[in-house]
Amino acid sequence: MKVMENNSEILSGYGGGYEPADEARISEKLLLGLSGRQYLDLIVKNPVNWAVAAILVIGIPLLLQRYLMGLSSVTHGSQDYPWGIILGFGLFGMVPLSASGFMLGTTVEIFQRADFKPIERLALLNGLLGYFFAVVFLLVDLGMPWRLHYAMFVSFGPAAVLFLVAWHVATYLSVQIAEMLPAFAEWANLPRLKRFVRSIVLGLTIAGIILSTLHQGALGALFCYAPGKIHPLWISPEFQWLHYFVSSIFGGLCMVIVVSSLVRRYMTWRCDTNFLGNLDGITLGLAKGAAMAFITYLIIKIVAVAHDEEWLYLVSGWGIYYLAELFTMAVVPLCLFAVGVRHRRVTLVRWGALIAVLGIVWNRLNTVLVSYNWTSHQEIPTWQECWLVATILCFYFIVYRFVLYRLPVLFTHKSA
Amino acid sequence: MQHSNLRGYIILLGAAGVLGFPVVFQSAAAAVQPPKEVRIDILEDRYGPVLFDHELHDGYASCVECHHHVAGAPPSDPVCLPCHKEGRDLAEIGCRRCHAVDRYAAIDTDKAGRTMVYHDDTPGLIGAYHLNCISCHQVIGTGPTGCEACHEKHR
Amino acid sequence: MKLKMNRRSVLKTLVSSAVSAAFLRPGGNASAHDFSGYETNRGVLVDLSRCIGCRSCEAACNREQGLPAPHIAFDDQSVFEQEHSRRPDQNAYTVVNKYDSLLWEHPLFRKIQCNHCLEPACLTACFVNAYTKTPEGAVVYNADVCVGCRTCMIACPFSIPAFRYDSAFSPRIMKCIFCYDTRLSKGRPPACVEACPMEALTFGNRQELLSIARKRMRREPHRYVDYIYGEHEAGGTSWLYISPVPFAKAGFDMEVPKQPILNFVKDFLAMVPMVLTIWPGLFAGIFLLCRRRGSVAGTGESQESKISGEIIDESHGE
Repeated sequence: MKVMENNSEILSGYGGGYEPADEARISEKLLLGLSGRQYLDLIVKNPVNWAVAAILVIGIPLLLQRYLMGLSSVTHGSQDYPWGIILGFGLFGMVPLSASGFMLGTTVEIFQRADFKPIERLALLNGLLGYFFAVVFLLVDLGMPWRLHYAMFVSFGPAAVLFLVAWHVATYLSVQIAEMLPAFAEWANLPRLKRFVRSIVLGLTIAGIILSTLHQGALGALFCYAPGKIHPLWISPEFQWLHYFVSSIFGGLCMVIVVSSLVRRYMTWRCDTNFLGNLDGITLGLAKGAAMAFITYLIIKIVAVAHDEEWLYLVSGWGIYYLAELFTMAVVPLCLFAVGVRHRRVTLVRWGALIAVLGIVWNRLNTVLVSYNWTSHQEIPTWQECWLVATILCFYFIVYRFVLYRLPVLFTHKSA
Repeated sequence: MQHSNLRGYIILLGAAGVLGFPVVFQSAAAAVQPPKEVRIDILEDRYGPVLFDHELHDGYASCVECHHHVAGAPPSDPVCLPCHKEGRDLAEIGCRRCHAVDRYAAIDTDKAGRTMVYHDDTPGLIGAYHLNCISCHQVIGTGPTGCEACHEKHR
Repeated sequence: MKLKMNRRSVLKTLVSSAVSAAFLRPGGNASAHDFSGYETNRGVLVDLSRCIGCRSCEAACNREQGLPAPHIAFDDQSVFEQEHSRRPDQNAYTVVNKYDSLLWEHPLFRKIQCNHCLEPACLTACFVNAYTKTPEGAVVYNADVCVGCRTCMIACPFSIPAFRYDSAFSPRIMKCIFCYDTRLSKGRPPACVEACPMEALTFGNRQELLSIARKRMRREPHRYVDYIYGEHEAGGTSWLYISPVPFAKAGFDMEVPKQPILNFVKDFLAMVPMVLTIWPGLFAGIFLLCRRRGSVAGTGESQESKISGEIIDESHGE
């Protein structure tokens, strides 16, 4: 926390809460109104950047190695575990946490809840970047990343679940870019672009709901291809897509709570009073919504266990591990949210959200790696593979911060 | 010439009657004067020829064990008996008469076996050799079962 | 007059479409739903009681498919002790493993390769259509369109497809293709079958192989357990197995579902068109319900709200 305070000190020193004039040059806007030297100063003096640099110093060569010498030069390259931690974390973990965009898009644009407006853009940005970096993770893991577009333009397998995922993620990414365009238009001073996007926002939001429902579910349905390989507790073909869809609802909401908490704490200079003043109330509101999703999730989970008659598995070692995951992912956050909302203790809600976020990632890793091939053997990802995950996460962090510093996401633009 | 010899044995067999047949057959087979040694060289492109000591095997098994129902005596396999009660005496009793060298060459796989109630699972020549030789060697516990005991590798 | 004509033409259309729906559709649909595999589907019957573990099939496959040299030579039987449960990988389309069972007098060997399912999971999971099921029964792979997502490896209930992870610029899936290009398409058996000295592998039409398998089991009931692995596994496979010991004892996965893997994702796939059609109306409706009249300016321009907006406004007006 010391870290970012430094940062804000510097920024407030150089004129915190920088908001460029409309006619300012792009270069000035990019540098936050600082001179090149000052900006460099800003970067160097921030210890977080050093930590990021330390990861990248090893991570970027690893990335090069992956592309020049093949996947197996850095990953476990296992024939039995085709999807490792890169996809398990990067695609299956990132996507549910990025459901925030459509959740708050729906809340604000469809349900007309203007009280959630201050956090809408953060949620949209979180969604956009989450999806974008899920695709980046995919590009690292894909055998032939240069053929990413094949499912769209070259060869079609429309009956495959992954076909849906590919098309929906691609279109939804476009939708999310469009949804973020107003913020960009305000920053770049392009009022006509903003007006155009505002005119189609309802269509975009509804498209977002459709695409999200389908591909969040589709990510779960992907595992229905391996009913015999995944431990029965982690796979129930009839309900898998529901599990993934419902968990993405609280996943997205909790991720927004976590990000907004971090931003409020470490990027205070960038937030306006509209954001800061309303955040506690909004957080509690999000927690209420998430609590409903937690309850739904728990019920479907129980229904799945009952439907597949898996009660006996629950008393095995796997069952205890499963319950631990379920408690981390849903029960503990649900309790924290309940107490937090009842007594208006926002800090409790924030911690609960963090636990839920970690729980979802854990659940996805459990499905892809731990419970996969449960009857045979377990494979541990190599350190390089984990380092690559950290590397892409650093890029995610850098881009996320870069955008938050500049675009009117945490503050309302004067033109709005 | 072998042909006429065998004809004679058929008559002999018929006269001997069912009870006496093993004895008769044994002596009959001996009288045909089967080859002492059979040189099997269909895989000569890969291995040296297999020299099969026919005379030696005469002591271990009756002719029908390997020659089924074509050696002029009832077959030993009960499944074959209903049709081949008496066994036939064919002019050519070498294995490749029925066991094709190229198992799948002549077969139209769309029709193969459809009209035949039996003989739809006849191994090819190579299969017949190995199935017969190795299975028997395994059962009686003597004789080669590994590859190179029979197949000398080309160098 | 004009109206009448119009009505008549509408009627005509209706009748003709009803007729075609009644008579033409069912036939087409039935054949699509009841497709139980190609009649010409070839297969191979593997008789575990015959296999002696000579690895000739491995060698033949390696030569036929031009695969890299093995690190343990094909005539070296010590591979069975050195590596206990091998699987097909980027260097081998087929491998033979050894299983010792007290229920059978000599060691058992099991050949593993693609089973060429009647409804291949790899094919149904592939989003770029890189897999094809040929009328001869082979499941072949097209490396030119493959993206390397490896969903086929997840989906294959027999864990057959392998990925060339070690190649940076030309990775691809490696998997038995039933010698389709060089042999099967010309009516000839795959190289492994031709190489098998024990005829533990029998090539033929799948239907006939099933009857041969049953016949062998009937003839020598002591020699086989009463089960044909692959008859129903994953909806049926081209390669079939009969064994003298229970299949689980010879390393077969008995948990493989007895229906095509596709069935497990059908529930989800059926849900897709419903979401696509119901969600837009549903959420546009919710939007309108939530809207206080005149309170939202910029959003009224989109078409959905304009059209159904009038309806809502009317009902409000009552």
